[in-house]
Amino acid sequence: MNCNVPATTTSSRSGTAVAPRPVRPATDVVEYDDRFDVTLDVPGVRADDLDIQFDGDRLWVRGQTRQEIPEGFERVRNEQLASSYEHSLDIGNQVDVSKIDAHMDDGVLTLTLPKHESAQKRSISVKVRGP
Amino acid sequence: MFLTHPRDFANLHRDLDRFLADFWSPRTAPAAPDVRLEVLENADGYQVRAELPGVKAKDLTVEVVDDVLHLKGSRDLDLPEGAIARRRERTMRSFERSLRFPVNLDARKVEASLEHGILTVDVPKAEEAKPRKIKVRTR
Repeated sequence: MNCNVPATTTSSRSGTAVAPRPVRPATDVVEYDDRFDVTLDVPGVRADDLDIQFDGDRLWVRGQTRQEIPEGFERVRNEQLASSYEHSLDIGNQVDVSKIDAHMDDGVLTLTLPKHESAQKRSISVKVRGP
Repeated sequence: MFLTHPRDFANLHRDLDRFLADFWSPRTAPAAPDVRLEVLENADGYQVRAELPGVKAKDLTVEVVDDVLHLKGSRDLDLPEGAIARRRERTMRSFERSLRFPVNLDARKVEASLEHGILTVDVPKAEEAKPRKIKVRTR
């Protein structure tokens, strides 16, 4: 697996200008009978700029934004918008990795992780016989 | 002020930021704003960018009153029936931020767009607030 963190480090003459580290996005994990939905806030990331990989153990999500300062502008207030995101999830052994699906909408990434058939809760109704 | 609901704490971030003061003392920014933003400036105006993941344009209000820009919005985080939350870190359901600018604004020409969860608001300065080049006459 490619473990390289996106190259976000830049050097300057003084050696002090270092780009911020990737932000760990706020994440929801929701379980259903047949799947897990994992939702991550990654504002500024487009579907093309996402990298999702499974390394046999963890699911890695990485993404980059394209926020650049237009020519002639200077930043007068900075609350450090994320320039890149990185997160990894231990998805255990319930998930059928071959069927993971990803969907981007309004800067929110939703991963659908179907459970293995054997991990799905089955409800079986048992008929009770009696006299 | 009574805080009757946890959401009220979030509203404490409804900071009417003294913009000029912020230039020199970033510590006046809220410690952990619900919504992070940045402001860019050139001679003609400002560009405000805010991270608003999952917020739809219809649930967003952008307003300019005098020299203050108000941003307000919400997003739907309700879970469908049968869902069991295992981890919930996405807590921002609604937000409100106000920014006071150090110059007068041209409210009629404000433009806003929402793309990939980033709100971009272009806020032109009022004509009288733009820098003017004064021609120096020589005799």
